[in-house]
This record gives sequence, structure tokens and C-alpha cells, in this order.
Amino acid sequence: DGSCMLSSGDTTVVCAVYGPGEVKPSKELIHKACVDVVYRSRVGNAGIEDRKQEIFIEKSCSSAILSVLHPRTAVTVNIQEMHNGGGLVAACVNATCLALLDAGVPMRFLIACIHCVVLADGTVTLDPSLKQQAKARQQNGSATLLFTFESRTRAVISSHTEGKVTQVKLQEAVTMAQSAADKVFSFYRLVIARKFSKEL
Amino acid sequence: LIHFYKRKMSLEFRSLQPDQYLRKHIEAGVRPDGRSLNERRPLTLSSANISTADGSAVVKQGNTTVVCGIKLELAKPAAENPDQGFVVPNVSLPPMCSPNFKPGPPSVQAQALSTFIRDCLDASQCLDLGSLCPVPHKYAWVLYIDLMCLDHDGNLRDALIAALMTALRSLKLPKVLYDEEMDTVQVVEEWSKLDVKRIVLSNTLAVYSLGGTANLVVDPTAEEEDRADSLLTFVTTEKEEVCLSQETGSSCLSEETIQSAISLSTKQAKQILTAVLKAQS
Repeated sequence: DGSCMLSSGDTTVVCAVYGPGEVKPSKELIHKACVDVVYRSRVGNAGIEDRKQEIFIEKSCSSAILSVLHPRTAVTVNIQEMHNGGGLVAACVNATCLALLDAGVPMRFLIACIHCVVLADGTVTLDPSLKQQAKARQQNGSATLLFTFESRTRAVISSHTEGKVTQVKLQEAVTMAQSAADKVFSFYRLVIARKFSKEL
Repeated sequence: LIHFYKRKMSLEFRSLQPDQYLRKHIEAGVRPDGRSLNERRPLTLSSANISTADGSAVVKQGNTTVVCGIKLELAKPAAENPDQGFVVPNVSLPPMCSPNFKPGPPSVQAQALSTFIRDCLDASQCLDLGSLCPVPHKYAWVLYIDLMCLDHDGNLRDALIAALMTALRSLKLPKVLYDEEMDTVQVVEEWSKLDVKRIVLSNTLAVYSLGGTANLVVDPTAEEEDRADSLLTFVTTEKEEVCLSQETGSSCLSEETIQSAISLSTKQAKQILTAVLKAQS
């Protein structure tokens, strides 16, 4: 029903959205639509790492989608990783938002996900490359942070941080990521405007 | 007699309007089971219960029951880290723990919890993997950590991490003798404790947005978890540093809420820490 291919630097993901549509009776929710995310990485069979990404993407989207409008249905999101150049999960969430817009699924707000890395020396880097991500994982005292913002008030809907980070640095990272989220939201406007101007 | 009717009506209210029932309680600063918003359920930890496992623990947090068993095995270390042992955590949520789970391959929640456990161990640097490799390039210790939930009454993360830490602290490693000429190993029954560098503590809070203010509820039961606007988990070490945090859900949290959540978690973590330290004396 809606699809999107998003490239953020080298990182490319393809997202397809179906729904609201039929749902398996085991997953059916009586008061709202269920959001089903299937994520596949480029190589290898489906592993448990993928489940973690699926849950994060699902949690970010469920808050955005007006699921109470369509009870007993499912909104299925399929994401395929084409290339990982860093900031993969963030690209997935952003691609999902655009695909949901394309499919016309009713949403409360738009979502933008920003990936950032805080190194041991205190530098905060947004949208890190693969090398910077790996450095953050290995280095002692550095952290990887993922934030999902919503478009109305730029509040944080979901976040995932791994590694030790002080409160002060966390605040700094959130503020920096918020201004980056603004750019993502204006990018969405640009894409949708372009799409509709072509159709005319 | 009036008391009997009051109770009957409250049960009807609970099943017909579960959201309202819960929210009215939280507005009044109390929960359906009588706890205040900052009160944890009683936590019972016992270690070294399973004689066939090298390390084990059973944790009961209210009704939530989790068993952890650790088995050791010698294996060839990974090519990327030839001088390190490795850890294989596995969380299983069998159908007996909750009607939400059916028999079959691990559910998405179980797999997500397995990655959560692994991420906590990595982020906290709780284990020195270099000390788990008696013969680099040839033999390394593998820790197969199996966590099984026997009863799911909410807040699995805290219980799983508490069980994991108690089991790790009860783990004893045998001595390994390596014969270089013959390229064989011999495992001798001389036990030494595993060096646990950090004690990892998890604290989960449920957030309810009532009338614009966010109410933080500590240690939610399954009923409270299902109806929460969002769930916050903070994983800290005994040195009060936050090493992992996860926030999922639909409510938008302000900075002040997050700050108060972090300080609340740190306070709660101390209670869990005393319980973990007492279990293994």
C-alpha cells in the first residue's frame, strides 16, 4: 500500500507498508490495530538481533499510528536492509514513517529517529559512520544513543542508550538530536511535496 | 455485608473498565495491590539451587518467578577475539508463564529479552572476558546462560537481571591444565569464583500520563505494564552509573520526568543491590 526507499549517506533501506488489513487471529487486538514489523538484514538468516530492531521500530510507530481507528486489523511493515553505512536503525524508522505517509495510514504525528554517539572524550557525534559506531562500542566510557522524536512538540517518544553516559552529556545529546530531527521533518515535507507535484 | 458488596462492585469495575480502575488508583497515589507508587514487590533471591548447573539462581519478585542456570563448556574462541571467552544468553518464555505465549519457537519478546541481557552484559562490562580464556586461540570458556520465566506477572527485565547476577556470583570455574606437547586439556576440580567486575541492576518504571503530569510507577505488575503509556528501563551498576536505558511507548517524556526517573531508579537499585549481595555471602 505504501513504500519508501531511503538513503542516509551510504545506509540504504527499503520499507513497504500494508494495511490496515487482515490480521492473524492470534495477533488480533480487539480495541486497536496491531503493528507488525518484519525486519530483514542484508545477509544471513533472520536472527535475534533483528528482533531487537523490530521491537524498537514497532514501539516508535505504534505511538504514531492512530490504531484505535482500525480495531481488529494489522498494519504490516516490512523493512529490508540494502546497505549499512552506519545509523541503520534510525534510517529504518525514518523510512517507515515515509512509507506510512505514502500508504495513507492515519497518524497522530510524524516520527524521526536520530542516532548519536558520545565518545569517552566527551564529543557528541550525530549520525555516526560504521567506524565511529564500532569505536563507541569498544571504547570504555563511550555510549551509543538512539532517540525517536515526534513532530508536534519534538518530545522523545522512545529511546535506547547503551553504554555509560553522564546526565549532562545525555541532555546535550538530546538537544543536538532535536535540532537534527527538525531537518528530518522538513525533509519529509520536501519528499511528499515532490511526490504530489509529480502526480498533478 | 456492605463490605462484601463493595468488593464485588470493585471486581466488576476492574473487569469492565480496567484502564479507569487502574488510573483512579494511580491518581490517588496507590495501586490495586495496595502498594504505593514507589514501592517494589518483595524480592526473594536464592542461589546455587540447581546442582547440575555450574551456577544457578531463582528469583521471586511478587508473583514473577525467574530461574537462571549457567553451564560452562570449553570451546574454540571466536576468530575475532581469540583470547576471550564468550557468553550465550538465552531467555525462554514458555507457555506456562503466561497465556500470551504459545508453544513453538521463541517469541519476539523472548528474543528481544535475550538481546537485552546480552546488551546489559556488554554495556556494563561486568565480565572480564579475557580472564575466561585459559588457552588463547585454542580453548575458551563458554557460558551458556539460560533464563526461564516460570510465572510472568510483569517486570521481567528486573527479575531476569537479578537472577543473572546472583547466578554469575554463584558460578565456580574449575582449573584447566593444558599440555602443550600433547595439545590436550585436563579439567581439575579446583574451584575458583568467577570474577564479576560490576553488579548490574535493572529498574523498570511504568509511566502513566494523567491530566498532563507523568506518574512514575515502580515495578509494575503484568496488569499495570499492559496499560502503561510507556515503560522506562534503566540499567545501572553498583557504582550508580547508568549503562543502558530503554524507553518505549507513546507518552512524550519531558526532561524533568526523565531526571526524576533516573534518580528514582538509582535509589531503587540500592534495594536490589542489598538483596543480591545478601544472596551470596
